[in-house]
Amino acid sequence: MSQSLKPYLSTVEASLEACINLANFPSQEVERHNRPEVEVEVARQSAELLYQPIHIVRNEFEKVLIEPSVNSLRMSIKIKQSDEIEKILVHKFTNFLEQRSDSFAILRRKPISDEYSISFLITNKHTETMKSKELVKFIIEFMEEVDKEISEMKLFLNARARFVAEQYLTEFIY
Amino acid sequence: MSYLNNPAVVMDNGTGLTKLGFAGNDSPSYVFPTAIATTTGKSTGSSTRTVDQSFSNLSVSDSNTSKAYLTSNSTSATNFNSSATHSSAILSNHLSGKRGTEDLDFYIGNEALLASQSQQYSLSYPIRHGQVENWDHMERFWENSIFKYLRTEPEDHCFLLTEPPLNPPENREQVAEIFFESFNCAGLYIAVQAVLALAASWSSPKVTDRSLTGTVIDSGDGVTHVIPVAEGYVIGSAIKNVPIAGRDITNFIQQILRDRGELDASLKTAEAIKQEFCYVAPDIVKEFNKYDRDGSKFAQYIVENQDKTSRKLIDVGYERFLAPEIFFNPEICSSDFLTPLPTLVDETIRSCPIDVRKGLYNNIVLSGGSTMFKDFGRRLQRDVKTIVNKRIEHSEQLSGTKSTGIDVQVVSHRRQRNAVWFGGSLLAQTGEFKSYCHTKADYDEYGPEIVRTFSLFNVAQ
Amino acid sequence: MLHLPNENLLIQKTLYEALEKFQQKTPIIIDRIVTDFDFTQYHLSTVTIPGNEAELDESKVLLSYRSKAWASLLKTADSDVSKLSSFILSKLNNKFELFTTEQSYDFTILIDLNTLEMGDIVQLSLIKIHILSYPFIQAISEYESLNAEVLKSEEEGKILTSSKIYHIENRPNHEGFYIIASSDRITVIFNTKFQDYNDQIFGKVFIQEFIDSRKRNRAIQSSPQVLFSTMPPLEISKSVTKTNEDDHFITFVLFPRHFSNKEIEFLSIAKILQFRNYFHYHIKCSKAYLHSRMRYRVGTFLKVLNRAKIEEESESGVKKTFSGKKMVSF
Repeated sequence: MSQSLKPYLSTVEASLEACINLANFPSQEVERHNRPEVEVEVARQSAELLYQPIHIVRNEFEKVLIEPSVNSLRMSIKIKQSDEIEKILVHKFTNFLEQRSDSFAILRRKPISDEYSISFLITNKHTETMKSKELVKFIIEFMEEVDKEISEMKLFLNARARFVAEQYLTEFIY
Repeated sequence: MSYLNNPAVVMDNGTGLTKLGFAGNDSPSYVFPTAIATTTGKSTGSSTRTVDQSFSNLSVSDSNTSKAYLTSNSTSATNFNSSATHSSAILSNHLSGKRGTEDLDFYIGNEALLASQSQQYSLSYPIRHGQVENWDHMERFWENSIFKYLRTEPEDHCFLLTEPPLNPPENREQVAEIFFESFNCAGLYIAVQAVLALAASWSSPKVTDRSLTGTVIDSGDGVTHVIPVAEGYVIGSAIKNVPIAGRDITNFIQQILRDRGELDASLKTAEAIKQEFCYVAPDIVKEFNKYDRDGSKFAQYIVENQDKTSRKLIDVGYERFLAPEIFFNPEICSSDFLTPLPTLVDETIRSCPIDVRKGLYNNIVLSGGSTMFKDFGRRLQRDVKTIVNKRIEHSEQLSGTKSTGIDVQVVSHRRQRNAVWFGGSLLAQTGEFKSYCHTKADYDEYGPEIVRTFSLFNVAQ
Repeated sequence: MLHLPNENLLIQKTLYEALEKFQQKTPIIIDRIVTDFDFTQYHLSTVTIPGNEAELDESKVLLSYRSKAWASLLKTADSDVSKLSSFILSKLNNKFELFTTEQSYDFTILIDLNTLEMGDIVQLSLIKIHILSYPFIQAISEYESLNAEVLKSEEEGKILTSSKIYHIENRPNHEGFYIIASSDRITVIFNTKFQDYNDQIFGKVFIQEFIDSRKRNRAIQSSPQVLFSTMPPLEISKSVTKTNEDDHFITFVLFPRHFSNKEIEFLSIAKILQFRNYFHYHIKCSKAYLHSRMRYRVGTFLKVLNRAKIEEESESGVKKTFSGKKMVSF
């Protein structure tokens, strides 16, 4: 793990742990509704239910936004993408995960904006059926593994390209 | 531009067999097992680099090799020609022992069966019970089907794929993900097998009105389905399965051969006897009597070994009509499933909405290899009719009114064996087919969920 | 599968089956469409007896060919169909005769099952390569005469380049290749495009390796030199009229050793002709592999996530039946 990654991840972990304190909170606007307050459209949001969002920035390529509220927490990650290939790979990978968001429970179908690669939405329903500490661990592990996976995929692509090119040209050796 | 009218590719991946081909042909170009042999990683490194390019060379020195090569994925559905002797000579792909390229080192179809005879490859079937189980294997199976066997650039062709009834929409999305993201295919249409089987029956002269309403009896190797379809939509709640199909018939014949102590009672022989000699009799008691009176009804099957040096004579007797009879009297071979097929068909139709039942009785369509027995359709029609008429009579008695009657018709036709594929070919060759496909541009814009819906064909003419 | 086979397996299989059945005296009637890469289509059909359209002559089969490349091929043959067709027939060892060209096809030959042999079937399955090798063979003969000229002039280091550019357009949107003969080499320039933006980026990685691997790996030094640019190379700049942003020009420089005898010449041409297909095939394969990796990753992530789930309280107090159903007491 590189020098600056560790403090970045531990900051994210600590902030998440602080924010994941969620309680059941019925909607104040619609009777018998119970909606994640962070997902309520801006015009109808009520300031008392939302807490201060947290930005954690490692560098221009990597950052995290945590938006806590009384009954839900939204977390968006920008995954490192330093060149065109990584950009495509990240896009492919996050799309692939989002396509399977049903089984991931806390994964959002779309990131909150183009600025971020992927978003998670944790509600009090989730923290009631899952251990919040483990959820945080999952997100941290996800952040670590994603970077590794992207760079491995990139390595694979280069290795495969080299192999394919050499094999093609070898056919011309008589 | 006529050059851009590439024929659509029709692929029907079944549990046992895959049918591949081009729209417009009357039969699939390839029929081979839906099997894939993947490398186990235990390669010895040097063993298979024996014959490198026996074919790219201009001269064909060894015609024996080439012959084996040609037959290795032939069209005949049940193909037992995979002899071990050729395997080392045919299969070589320059990949053994190279690290990081394991995903290219695999074989499909009959070649997979060959390859799996060596330690290096392990065989698996990516489709179970009609649905894809292993997407990794399926993706590579398609990859090889398209590039090696069909020799098409998927960017230039539309694809028609089939799915079993009640396939979850998530599976469709996965298919779309593979076909659009990996292969960039030009267009994709996914059709339900039963609906295609109905469309295939339009080639029969009995069918006059080209409707997409009917009951499909689809009997392959593993299982038999009875699927009601109303105006192109499958009535999912009414589908019924029979655990009796081709494999059970073969096993039944094999058992009879064994009991009688024939010289050769292999599965291969039983299969051949099933295909060549079996038929459906109208009444088994009468048929038994006929056989006892007339010896010419008994047949003989000759088994030759590979080099045609020795011959064995196998007698074929009552199993000729007894084997297919297990559809109509399951108790003769199974002890836990006892409902005859005609009763099941009747039950299926009666559990459908009342306004489509007449149409369903009127158009009972057969599909799949195990419905190919002579007079299968006729017997089914007679038995279903008997059941229906009895019930009508009963209700007439009770109510005292006259019923208008129900017309029961079983349609069997020449394309029955590969009916699903043929139906696909029929639909995909129409000019409108392209407009029914979802395109790569659609996919990029809306994402995989577009394949949840496809507009139905209406080829009413 | 690493290399795409040169031959069309389906032509082989169809003809082989027809031949086998014919020899067993149970001839079959064939009427099938077969395709190949780059908008190539074949039609194999049993011949009708002339004058009696309803009757079929089962001993004779027609093989019709059509492709996008035909129009530009004809141009390289000075629009002389007979020149091109006699070339193709000679490539098939003159064993087959020309037949009236079938409608909507470019070229039709007659196959007589009485004289068909296994070797012929293989040649017929290579027909696409045979047909497209026409401009290559022209270029090679041009190279030979230019080379002879240089030798005659005895001038040190003199290189002559033919003014003729063979341009074959085998795909829509001006995708295709150019062939130019010089006295010491033959240059083949592909213009390839990517439908998909992602493919384009992946493609660039692959192309870079094509260029570099020859420099890096000493074992393949004698393979053709590969160059790449997004602008038309100088050799063909005058014949490329319109350029688009998504043009990718890949140049292969074939040296005399790549066509030193007939067999090597054929293999080189076959390989070059398959370049685009090979290239795009492997881009697709890598995407398929990435999919498997991602599927695996989804699995491992889910495992981690499932650790977070609070397990349901153990039901030690509940009695279960033999089949695992709960016993419920009312």
